[in-house]
Amino acid sequence: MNYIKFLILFFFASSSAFSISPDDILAAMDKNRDYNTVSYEGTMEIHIGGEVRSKTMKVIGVGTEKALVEFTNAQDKGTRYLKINKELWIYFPSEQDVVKISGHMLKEGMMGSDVSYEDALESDGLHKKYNASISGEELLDGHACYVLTLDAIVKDVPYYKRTMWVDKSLFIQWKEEMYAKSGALLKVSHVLEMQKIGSRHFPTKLEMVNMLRKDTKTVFTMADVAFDVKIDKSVFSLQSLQR
Amino acid sequence: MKTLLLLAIRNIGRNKRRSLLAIVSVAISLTVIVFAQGFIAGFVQSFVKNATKNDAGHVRVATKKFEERSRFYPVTYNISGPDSIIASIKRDPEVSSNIALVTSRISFGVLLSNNGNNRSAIALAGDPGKEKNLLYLQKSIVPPGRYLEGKRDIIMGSTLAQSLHYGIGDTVRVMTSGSDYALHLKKFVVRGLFATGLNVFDDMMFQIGIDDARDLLAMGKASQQIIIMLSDYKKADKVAERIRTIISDTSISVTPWTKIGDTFTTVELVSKIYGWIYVVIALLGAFIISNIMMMVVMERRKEIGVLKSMGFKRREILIMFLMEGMALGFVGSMVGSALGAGLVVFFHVHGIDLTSYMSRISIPLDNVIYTSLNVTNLVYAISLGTILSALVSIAPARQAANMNAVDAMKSV
Repeated sequence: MNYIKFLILFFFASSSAFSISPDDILAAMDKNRDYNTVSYEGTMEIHIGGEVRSKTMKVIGVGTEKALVEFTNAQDKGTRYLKINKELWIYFPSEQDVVKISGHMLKEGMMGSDVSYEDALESDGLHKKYNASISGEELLDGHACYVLTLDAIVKDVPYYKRTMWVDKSLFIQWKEEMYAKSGALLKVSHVLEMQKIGSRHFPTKLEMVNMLRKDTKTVFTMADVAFDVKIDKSVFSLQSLQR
Repeated sequence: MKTLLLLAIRNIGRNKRRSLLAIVSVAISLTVIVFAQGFIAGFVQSFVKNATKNDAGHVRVATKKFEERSRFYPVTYNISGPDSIIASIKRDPEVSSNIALVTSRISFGVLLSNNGNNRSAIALAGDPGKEKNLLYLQKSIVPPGRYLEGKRDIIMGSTLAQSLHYGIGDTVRVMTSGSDYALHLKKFVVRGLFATGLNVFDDMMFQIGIDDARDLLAMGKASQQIIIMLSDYKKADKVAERIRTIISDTSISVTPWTKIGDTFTTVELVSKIYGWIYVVIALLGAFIISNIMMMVVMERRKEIGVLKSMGFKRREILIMFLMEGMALGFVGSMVGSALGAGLVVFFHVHGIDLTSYMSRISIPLDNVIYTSLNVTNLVYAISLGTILSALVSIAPARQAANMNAVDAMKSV
């Protein structure tokens, strides 16, 4: 009898080791991104063939709904992107004109990078658009990770299927693979560096590889990251974009 | 042989009505063939001219990566030093003596939008002065518009402009991915609308200056293509071969128009198909000679018997009747070719207006086709008519040759 009780206890104990649900994991990941405002200095290195193009920018954002990016490197100085919810506008300083990016243009890489405008516009929680399941656990670059598989439940998603390697203790997504409906692997992202800022674990260096383009990758670095800073919300307007 | 020929010619005159019928039949066929040859020659000339000058030229210099993906008009695989390549080409006497024009060009696809209307379009960017002798768009500008004169000028196909509600003086925003893969925007002012009569142009294309295109596409001083037009398009293969020896950069490809796209394959296919059609038409016209010669042989059985008894050999009888058939065919061919040539010359001057038909198709052809007379084609047509007439005369000539002399003399 004691032996049977032991077996029953052991069974339940084992189950509870995997009792974290996929939604719990996604919620924990979202918590790392839960801030009122954010600002940072970004550097984007676009590797194409043997060539590297470097772009620098200042970024401010309100939650995940609004963001303003202004490029500061010489070649693109003054170019600005304004994101408001799911809409994106670009200000071209040479033409003093603003264009809304929509339709097929959203799939283009930002400034020629492997990060598309569509990627940048993603704001809703993943749990709203995907059905998540834990497909296993893996050790990735020394980090113990849950392997999450996400299948789209709505049509309005850039990637039909996603596989994520999520740190079991920090709930940071160290690696992600993004797939098309056909099953073709479209992009792979890696977090190369992470910092603890306040109570948040925040990726500060990411690499994105577009699997549909040969010999290209984009490395995005964030410096001077600050959360919940005071931001004048009037800057998130078309009038302000063209100033 | 001379005697047999004289006999054959004399025999043609013995029944003038029948001989005239044979000659007229062959003449009609040859008139059709010569005119068709002239029309097809004009058609091919128009097709090659428009397909090459608007697209790849007679010879195109570009990077190998561009050639692999040329149908997508990529702007990311460019020639970094086009001016030095052009200078090298012009320095070579063998090449320069064949060149009519050489220029840099950039072509790219773009989606134009205006007030909710979207249209796919193709931009042609080149040296406006040189493109005057290539695209000739300045001749098709609808008044009060004008051709490109300065920076940010754009001229647009009239049908394309109409569908996007653009007029003279309007601002056009052209936004596209540049050579750095990033989105770029440049605004242009519509200076003119062109109506060439070529739907593939008027419905889809606009022209800007190459410096504006380089600025828009972040290309620096690079070019996507170097277009070379020759004084004789048939020398393209030879000139391309020579240019390959001049350019040392192994990433550069030199391609004659015969190897680009489907133009050459289409031309070859059209020529082959029409070659067979001419044979069929000539055969139909010459077939009446076979019937006539059969009748002649039956009527002249006694005469054949007499000739054989006089010592004419089987081979000589055969040749005599063959020559008769051939002579009818030759005269018919000459008459028909002369008539056909006259029609070709007339339509070479006045042209054949196909405007109403061309509105339904979008291939690079002029709306008015000018026929073209070619001596080689004329000689071919006359030879075809004559030889086929001889061929269809073989059967009746053999029948005459194989007759028994005694039986032939006894026949009524």
